[in-house]
Amino acid sequence: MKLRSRQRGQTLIIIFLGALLLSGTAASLLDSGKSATELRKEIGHLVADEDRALRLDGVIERMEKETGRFRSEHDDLGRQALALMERHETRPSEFGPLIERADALNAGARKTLLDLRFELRRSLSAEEWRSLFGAAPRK
Amino acid sequence: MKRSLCAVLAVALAGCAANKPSARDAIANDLEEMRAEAAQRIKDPRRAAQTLESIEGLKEALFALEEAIANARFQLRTLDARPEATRAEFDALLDAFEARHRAARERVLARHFELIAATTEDEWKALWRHERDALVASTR
Repeated sequence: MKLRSRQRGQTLIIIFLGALLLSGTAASLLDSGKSATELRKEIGHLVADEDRALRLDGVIERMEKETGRFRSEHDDLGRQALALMERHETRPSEFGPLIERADALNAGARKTLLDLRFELRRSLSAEEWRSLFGAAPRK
Repeated sequence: MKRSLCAVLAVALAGCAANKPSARDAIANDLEEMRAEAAQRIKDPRRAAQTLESIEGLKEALFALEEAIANARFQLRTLDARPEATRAEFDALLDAFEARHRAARERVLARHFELIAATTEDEWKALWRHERDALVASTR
C-alpha cells in the first residue's frame, strides 16, 4: 500500500493529464530508461571534447529541471483530481477546469521536452546517439 | 563476501520483479475486491446491479487505458532510439496517444460518475479506495 501511495501522483499524471513524456521511470529522460546521471557518465566516456561535453551536460540539466518542474505542477493537479474523485458530492462539471489546466500544462511540457530532445540530438552524431539511446526497447 | 551478498540480492530482486503481478492482473484484483465490497454493502438490488455493471465497465476502460500507455511508451522509446527520427514523427505519435487518452479519460470518468450515482455517501467511502487502487494499477 505504501508503494501505491508513492505511485499515486504519477498515476494521476497519466489518467487525467496524459503527460506521457513525464510518466516513465523516475528521473529517466523522455522515458529512455536512463537517468541523467547515467547519461552524463556515458557521455563522459563517449565525448572527448570538453566544451561539447559541457554543452551536452547543460541540455541534460535543463531537461532534468524542466521535467521536475512539470512533474511538480502535474502532481499538484493530480492531488486535486484525487480529492474530487474521493468526494461523493463532486459534480462532473467540477473536473472541467482541472482537465483544461492539465491539458495546457501537458502541451507546454511536450513542447519544452521535445525542444530539448532535439537540441541534445543536434549536439551528438548519429553514431553517438545510437550508442546512448539505440538499444531496442523491451515491451 | 561482498560479492556473494550482491549476488543474493540480485537474485532476490529478480524474484520480486518476476512475482509482481501485471497491470492487468492488478486492475482485475482491485476491481474484484470492489465488487465484493459492493455486493456486501449495497442492500438495494437495483443499485447493487448497477454498481456491478459500472465496475465491469470501469475494468474495460482501465484495460484500454493500460494498453494505450504501454503501446505509446514502447513506440516512444523505439522512435527516440532512431537518430533520424523527425519532430513530425514525435508529434504524430503523441497526437495519436493524446486522442486515445482523452477518449479513455472520458470513459473512466463516465464510469466513475455512474458509480457515484448508484451509491450512497457511506457506500462510496467503502468503495473509493478500490477504485483508486485500480487506477494506480493501470499504470504499473
